[in-house]
Amino acid sequence: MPDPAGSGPRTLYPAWTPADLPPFPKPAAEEPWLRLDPRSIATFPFAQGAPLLLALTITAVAGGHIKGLSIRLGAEVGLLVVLGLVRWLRFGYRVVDGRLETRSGLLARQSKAINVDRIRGVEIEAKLVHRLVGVCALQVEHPGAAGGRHGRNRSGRDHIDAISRAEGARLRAVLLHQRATAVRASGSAAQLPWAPSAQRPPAHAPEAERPPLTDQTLFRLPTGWLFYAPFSLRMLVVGPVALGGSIGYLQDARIDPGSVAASFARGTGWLLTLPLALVFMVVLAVGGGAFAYWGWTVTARADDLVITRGLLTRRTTAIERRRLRGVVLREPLLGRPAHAASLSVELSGVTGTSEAGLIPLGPVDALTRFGREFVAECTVELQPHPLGARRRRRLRAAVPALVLSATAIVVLFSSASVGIVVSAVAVVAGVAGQLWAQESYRALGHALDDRVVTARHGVLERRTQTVDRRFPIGLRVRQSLFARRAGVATVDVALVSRGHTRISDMAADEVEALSRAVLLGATIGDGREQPANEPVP
Amino acid sequence: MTSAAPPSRPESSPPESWLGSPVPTVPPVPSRAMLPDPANRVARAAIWHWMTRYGLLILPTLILLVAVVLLPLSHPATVSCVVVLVFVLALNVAVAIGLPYWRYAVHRWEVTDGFVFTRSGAIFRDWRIVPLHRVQTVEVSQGLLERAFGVARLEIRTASYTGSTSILGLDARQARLVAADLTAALAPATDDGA
Repeated sequence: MPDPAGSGPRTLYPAWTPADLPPFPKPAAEEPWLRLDPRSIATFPFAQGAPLLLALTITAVAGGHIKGLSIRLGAEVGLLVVLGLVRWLRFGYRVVDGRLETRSGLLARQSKAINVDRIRGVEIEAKLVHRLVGVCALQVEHPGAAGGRHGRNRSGRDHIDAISRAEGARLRAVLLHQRATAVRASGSAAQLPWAPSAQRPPAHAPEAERPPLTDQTLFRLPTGWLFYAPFSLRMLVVGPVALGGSIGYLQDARIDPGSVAASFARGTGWLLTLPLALVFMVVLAVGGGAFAYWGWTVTARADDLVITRGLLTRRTTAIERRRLRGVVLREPLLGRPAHAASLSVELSGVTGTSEAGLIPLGPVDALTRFGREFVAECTVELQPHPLGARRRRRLRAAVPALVLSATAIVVLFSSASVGIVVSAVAVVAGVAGQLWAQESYRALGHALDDRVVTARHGVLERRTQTVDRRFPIGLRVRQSLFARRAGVATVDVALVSRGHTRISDMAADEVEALSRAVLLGATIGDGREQPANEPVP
Repeated sequence: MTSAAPPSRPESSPPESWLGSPVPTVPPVPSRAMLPDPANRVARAAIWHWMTRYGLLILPTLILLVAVVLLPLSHPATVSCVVVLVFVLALNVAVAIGLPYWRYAVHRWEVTDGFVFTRSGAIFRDWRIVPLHRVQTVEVSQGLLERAFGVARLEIRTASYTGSTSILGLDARQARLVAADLTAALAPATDDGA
C-alpha cells in the first residue's frame, strides 16, 4: 500500500490494468541478436539435457513395432536434426548494457539476462564432438543459475552451445573485460527510477572477526572422545555395514558367517548373544571412529581453517574462514544421556561444500564453547514454540497407531491371536509415537539477536543451527491449512546459498515480526524499525 | 515490505515483545492475517490460462469414458466403471473451473524499494520475500499456452533456492518491464553473492 507520507518503503507497480501499461521501451539502436554456429545442429544431440538419450528412448518406446532398423534410425536422426534446427533458429544471445541476454524456445519461450558483474567465470568447453566439428561451448558461471527452481541447474552454469572457436574466444574476452570494468566502477549502480536511495550492504563480503592467525592449532581431538562414537548413528551403522561388505570375502574363504554366528549363539546361549552382539557393534563403532577421526586437528592457517584427520590415510580439508557463516550442533538421540554431539560449520558461496565437519565427536559443552570461536553465540535463550506445534506432532504420530488399531479390530474377527498381536503392536506404536511427538516438540526452539539466528529441531538428531543473520538472501514462510488452524507456520531463512535455517512450526503471530527483524535488521519488539544497518566489516 | 500496520491490531493490550518474555497468557488475537497481503494481483488472463491447462487434463478421462461407453454393455463391471469415471470427470471439471479463481485470489506479488514479496499456494501457502540487493538473475518465460493468453512467468533468482521466487500468470508486458527494471537496478556483486 503506498505510504501517504512517502517516507517509508513504497509499493512499486501499483495495480495496473493492461491498458495502463506503457509499451515496452525499445532501445534506440537495438543490438542485434547473435545466432549459434550452424554446426551446432550436429552437436545438439550431445548438449545439456541429453537430447540424444531422450530421442532414443522416444523412438524405442513409440517405434517398437515399426519393422526395419533403417526406418527407426532414420526417424531418430530426423528428430534430432529437426530439434537441432529449431534450437539454431530460435536461440539468440547478445551482450548489451552490461548484461548477457539470451533468448530461446519455439513453443515455450525464455529470455534471461545475466548482469556481467555477476559472472564468476567464463569457460570454454569443447567435448569430443565439438572438436570434431570445430566449435566450442561457452559456460558462464554465475550464482543465479544455481538458485533455479527444483534445482534444475545444479552446476551453477549457463551454456551457450555451440559457437565457433573464434566467436567463443571473442565472447569470452568481451564478457571478462566488461566484468573487470564493471567491478572497478562498482560504486555507481543504477537505481530503480522511482526509488529513493535504498539501504545497501557494503559490496564486499564480511571477513573474520579476528586478525588472521598463522598456523595456530585451534583444536585437537582428545583420544578419549573417540568413545563417544557409539552414540552417533553413523558410527553404529558402520559395523554391520562393514560386516555385510565382508561377507563376500568370508564366503570366498569357505567361511559361512551365518552358520558361524548360529553355532556361536547355540554355544553361548541366546540370552548372552544379544548383549555380546551389542558389545561387538560398540567396539566396531569405536574402531571405525578411531580409523576415520584419529588425530583430528583444526588449524588456522592464513585465511583458511585446515582440518586433518585419519589413522592410516591423512585427509586434509581446507575451509576459507571468510565463508564461515554458521555452526550446526548435532545431538544424536542415543547420545542424549551422555551429552554426545558433533559440530559442523555452514559455509556461504555457491561453489564448493556448503557444510563441513568441524568436530566429529565430543561432549556438548566443549563443542558449543568451540563453536563460539567462529560464530557468536545467541545472547537470547531459545524460545519454545506454541502448543499448536505439539498438537500437530501428536496428531501426526497418532496416525500409524490408529491405522494399526483399525487393522487389529478387523483382524480380531477372523483370527484372535493375530488380532491380539496386532493390537499389542498398535498400543506400542501409539505410546512410542506420543513419546516421539513430545520429544519432537521439546526440541523445537528458535531465538534471534542482532547478529545471529538460532533454530533447533529434530528428534533422531537434534540440530541446533546458529547462523550469522546480517546478510540474508531471502525468506520463505509456509503454512498449510492445518498449520493455519493450529496457529503455526514454518519459516525458512536463507542465509547461505545452499541450505537454509528452518524454524519449524513457530507462532503465526510472530512471523511478521521475525521477517521484519531478519530482512530489515530491526531488533524485535522495540516498535520502531531500524534501517538495515549492516556493519562495515 | 509495507510499513503500514494492519488495521486490525487491537489497541487494548500492547504487543508483547516475545524476546525474553514468558509464554504470553493473553489469548492470541484471532484471525489476524499472518503477513500483510502483497499489493498486486496477477493478470486476469491467468484465470483462463489455468482453466485451459486444467481442462486439458480432463481429456484423458473423457476419452476413457467414451471408450468404456462404446464397449458392449454386457460386461458387469462396465456400469461401475462408467460411474467411477463420471465421478472423476465431475471432480476434474469442478477443479478446472474453481481452482483457477482460487489461485487468482491467492497469487499476489509486490515489489517495493528493497524487496520482492510474493504469495502463492492455495492449500499450502507460500510467502517469499527476497531482498533486491540479493537478486542475481531475472528470467521471463512463457510456455505455449501462456503465450496464447499473454501471460508470463517471472523468475527471480538468488544464490539460494529458498531465497528465490517466481510469479506465475503475470501479464507478459508487465513481466518484461519488471524484469528490465530489476535487472537494471541490481546492486554490484559481492564476491560470492551469498
